[in-house]
Amino acid sequence: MTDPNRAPELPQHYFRHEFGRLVSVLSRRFGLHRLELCEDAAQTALLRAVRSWPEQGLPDNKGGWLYRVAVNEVLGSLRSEKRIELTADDTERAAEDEGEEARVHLESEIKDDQLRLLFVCSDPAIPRESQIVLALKTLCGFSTGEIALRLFQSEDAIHKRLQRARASLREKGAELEAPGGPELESRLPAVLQMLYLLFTEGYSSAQPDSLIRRELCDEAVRLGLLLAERPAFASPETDALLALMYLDAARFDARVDGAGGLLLLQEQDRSRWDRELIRHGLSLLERAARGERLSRYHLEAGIAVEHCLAPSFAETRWDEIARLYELLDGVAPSPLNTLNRAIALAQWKGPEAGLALLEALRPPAWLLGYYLWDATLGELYRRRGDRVRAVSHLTRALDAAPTQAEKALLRRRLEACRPV
Amino acid sequence: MSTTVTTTKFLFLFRFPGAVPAKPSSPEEMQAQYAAWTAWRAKFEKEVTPGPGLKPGGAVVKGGVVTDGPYIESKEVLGSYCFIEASSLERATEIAKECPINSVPGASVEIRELGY
Repeated sequence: MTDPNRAPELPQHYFRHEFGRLVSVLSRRFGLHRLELCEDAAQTALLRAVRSWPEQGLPDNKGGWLYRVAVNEVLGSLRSEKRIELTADDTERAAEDEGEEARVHLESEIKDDQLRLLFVCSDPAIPRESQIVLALKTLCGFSTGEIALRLFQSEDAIHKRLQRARASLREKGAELEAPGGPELESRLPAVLQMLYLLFTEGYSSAQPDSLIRRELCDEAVRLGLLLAERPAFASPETDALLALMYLDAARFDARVDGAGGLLLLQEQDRSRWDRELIRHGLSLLERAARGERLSRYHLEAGIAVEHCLAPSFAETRWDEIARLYELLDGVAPSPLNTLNRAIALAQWKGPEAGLALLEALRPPAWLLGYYLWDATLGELYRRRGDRVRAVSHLTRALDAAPTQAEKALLRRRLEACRPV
Repeated sequence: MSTTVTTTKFLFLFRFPGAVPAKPSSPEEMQAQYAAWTAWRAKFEKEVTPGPGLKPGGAVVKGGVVTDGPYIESKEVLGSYCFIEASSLERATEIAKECPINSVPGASVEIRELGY
């Protein structure tokens, strides 16, 4: 025990991340079918720490302290609630508690358990949106309320997603092998996709409360780094995804003005872009170039590089960006790539070229209802001098825009259509 | 009495709701609570002395009947305690009023003077 008066400060998000570590270790030990019990035990252990640590001082081995409390909590629940008769195995393991504590808290083993849970959360049997929710709850230690706030869903919806995801894990009953086995390697793409979605959730919609949204991006990077530490999982795709996340994160703060409004790329103060993160992203992308496969992460990171290295909006290599979007469409086809390519073409060759591409596209119904479709068309028509079409599209975009920040930005563009 | 400043010893009994709260704190909220308690301890470090703490569980004997730890049915649970050396009950009450336990719904701190 240390002196409680010597300001025992904890690192930022210590409890939240410790929750994830505890659930990872406990669910490996007691089984994924008892995931909720493990989450409750982790919660109780943290609560006990809150009551005890300020008075008694921080224990020398905080993680070991929490783990011991949580294990006893699980065993106590199993005994008293008779959820399941204690098997001889469980009892024997309880007797080994002391030894187990010292052994399991090797940092590398905790990381193994976290990786294992990361693969569990990315189980293809769980719907994608629920994968993110499950990861945010179990690995990142967010409460359902905090997740609801960050994903713009009701707390009830998040709760249901969690229940279904846990049920799916229980029904499957399958326990994953330890990281390093061939089965897990084959599931790496699913994990990368989940992290990509988690990052995009935090990045895509800049809210006035962008600080809490940024936490989603930070968590995606943290879990991605966990993967990249393992040679078996440090594939070129993993590196490329991390590069993409760093390069996007570098521009995170510059996208929002002082009042929480959204700034267009051409309006952003490029000196606010984080050079350190850009440098990091570039070296990761260099490392990612060693493979044969050109993944969507490679191409999206390549596009981010073009933006990050351009000295100004006007001096951006739009021809290169247009080419990258075309390649991306070959790897991960989506009309959104065409939309983005049209924007790049318009910058490179003029609005006519961009509009020609979009007018030739047969957009699916969902794209027609998507505000960025109308926002892009409106802007290109405005630049071509077609005021009537511009106003019509921008008005539709304004109606469909999901956030106040985006609506404000579109209103500014509509203003620009007014004759001077 | 040789000293000019006399202090009185008090016991603070921290009671928490026994049933699991409907909405448990998130880890992030718990970290904020931890920071608040640590700050309170630091602010009154000359007056507050923590006890060795309470382990969970234990037993309750009532009318000769023994039941498991106090958590099961009671509305309130003695969560922890500490000793206070303060100039007066008023001062001890002031210290208790600033305690972060006041932000825990249903929780309370009971102040008792020690000795007869």
